[in-house]
Order: sequence, then C-alpha cells, then structure tokens
Amino acid sequence: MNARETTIWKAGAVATDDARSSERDELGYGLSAEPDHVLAALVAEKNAAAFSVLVTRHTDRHLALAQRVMGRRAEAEDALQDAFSKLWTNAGRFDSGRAKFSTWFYRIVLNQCLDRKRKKQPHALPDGYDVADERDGPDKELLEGQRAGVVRLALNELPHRQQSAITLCYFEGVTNREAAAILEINIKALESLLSRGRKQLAKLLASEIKELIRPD
Amino acid sequence: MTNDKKDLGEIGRLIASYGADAGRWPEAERERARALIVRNSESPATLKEANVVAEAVALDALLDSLPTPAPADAALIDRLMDIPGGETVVRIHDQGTQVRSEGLSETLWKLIRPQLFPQAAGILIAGVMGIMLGLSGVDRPSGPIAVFDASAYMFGDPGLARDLEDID
Repeated sequence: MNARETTIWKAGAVATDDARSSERDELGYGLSAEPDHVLAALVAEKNAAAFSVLVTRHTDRHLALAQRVMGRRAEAEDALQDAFSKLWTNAGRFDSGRAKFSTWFYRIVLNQCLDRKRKKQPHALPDGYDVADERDGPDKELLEGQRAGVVRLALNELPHRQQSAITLCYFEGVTNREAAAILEINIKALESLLSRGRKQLAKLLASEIKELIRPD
Repeated sequence: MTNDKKDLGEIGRLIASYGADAGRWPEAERERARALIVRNSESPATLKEANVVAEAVALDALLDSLPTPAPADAALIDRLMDIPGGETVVRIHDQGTQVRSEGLSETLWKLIRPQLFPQAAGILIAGVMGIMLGLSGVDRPSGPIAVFDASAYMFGDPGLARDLEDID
C-alpha cells in the first residue's frame, strides 16, 4: 500500500471527516480567540481542545518551514508531527515571560527537522528535483521547474544553521530579532549566518546567477 | 574612513545579509538605509559594488522562484489532532503502514521481547529435561567411580556404564 494512500486507523474507530471536524469545532468552542500563550498553558494541563486550536492555527506556517528545511514533504510532515507531540508533552516548559509562543514553537519544529536531517542519509534529493517531463521540448514552465529544483538542492547543501537562518528570514518573513531568538544567537551572529549562507548559495548557483545578470 | 565609505559599508552589510530588496531589511534600519542610499546616489559606485548589487538581485530572484509549500491536507491535520488521544503514534511515512495508537505496555513488551525469548526458551527446555530425569527413577551409579551417564538413559546406549563395568 502506498504511504500516501494509507488512511488513518485508530483504535478501530473510523469517523468521517465531517463528523471529526464538527467534533473539533465543538471542542475548540470558546478557545479560538484565545492568545497562544493562554492555549499553551491549557495544553500543559492536557486540554485537548486548546491543543486542537493551536494545531489549526500553526500547522500551515510551520509545515512550510519544515518543508523548506527538509526538502521532502513526507519528512516535513513527520517532523511537524514530532514537534506537535513535543508540544503536547512539554507545553509546561513554555514560559511566556521569556519568549513568544511562536518563537518557542519555531525552535521545536526547527530542532525536530535538524535532528532528522542529521540522522538521514546525506544528499537525498528534495521533492521536485529532476522530475521527468514527458513533453516534447523545453519550455518556460519546464525551465522554471528545473531552476527551482536546482535552487532547492543548493539550499539543501548549506550547513544547517545557515539554511535555517535563510529560511526563517527570507521565506518565513520572521523579523531578525525573532529569528535570532529562535536560533538562540544574537543579531550579529544571525547576520553572519545569513551573509555566509547567501555567499555560499551564490557560489553554488553561479551559473544561474550569471545567466540572470547577463546583458541581453 | 569617509562617511561615504561608511555608508556604503552599512548598505553592503544589509544587502549581504538580507538581500537587495529593502523591503526585507530590518524595519528599524530600513529608513536610515534608504536615506543613506539617497545621500550616496551621487557618489560614483565602483564596478565591484554594482556587481554585488546585481548578484544579490539575481540571487533574490532565484530564491523567489521556489514555490510556496502547499497547506496541510486533511489527513495530516487528523494525525496532528489525534496526538492527545494516542500515547505513541506510528508515523505513516517512517513505517509505510497504518497510523495507530499504541500503549506504553505494548511498546515496552516490543522492546524487551527479542532479548527475553531465547533465554526463556533455554531455561524452559533445561527445566523440562531436569524434571524428566528426576522422574525417571534411574539410580545413580555407585562404586569406585561414580559417574552418571545420561546417554545410557536417554539413548539406550550402555556406553560408559558398560565400559565402567568392564574396568571393574
């Protein structure tokens, strides 16, 4: 059975998507307007409704981060699942006086991703790299697809900290102050990671850059 | 260092870290940096500086060519929502099998079962053999050389017992 086709099976109980989502709506009733730190405090008390609101609120954003760091969608989803499991078990460790919830949770997601990257085989090609195309000739779309694949591969080649810094600041739009807090460094060190990362990327993508700045 | 050089160094630092698009620069520094650019617009930029900016613009364009990751599908949301209910969740992609909940006792049993099984089987076989021998009523040999030859009992081979008799 293909992993993607596999359906969720849990304790023999199968509920339809509609039934489950309405169940969740009821669970989260009254909590959806609460700020993250209040929900995190409730999760620390094993409040599943508060947890479901945090899942709804943060999944897409953190999935995007995980996919950019991991390269592969399936691995990003697993890393995110691990991060939310940690949130469920360790929410009591979150201290709203020291950091924003998003900063704390970004750090958890990023650490899960980096742990997985360290364990996995090196140089696994990211999703979308060198995808076979059966159309007759190269066209704009194909070239753009190939270019994105090359860029993704170059990002994957960067040291993990540099890749994380670029992903947070460039793609996630996180402020430099928050990115520095997530990576537990100061702003000067963050800027050093960013500039070294961009320099390395420019080296890896030299031919693509040359093509783009070539005067016609 | 002249003011112009200092200003250019400041702008260069921002470009090197955050890219050529001033919209991505830290908000606190953005306005000041824009003012520096305006102030230095008259000063002749060197070829090297112009190249640095062009390269940063090109790198930004390459990074922008990456598509935005798709939002989570219903199956992933279900897996995440199920976390409070399951003690251990088997990951769909790691296992290539179904996602299901698994209790702590089941997890512990899975961990210790491979180590325990061979030892338990060995102890059981030895115990059964001991009981069989004990119940068999075989008399222990007595005499100058007291040797119990189990093979004589187990396989009906007079073997060592006969040999000992011959010696006597």
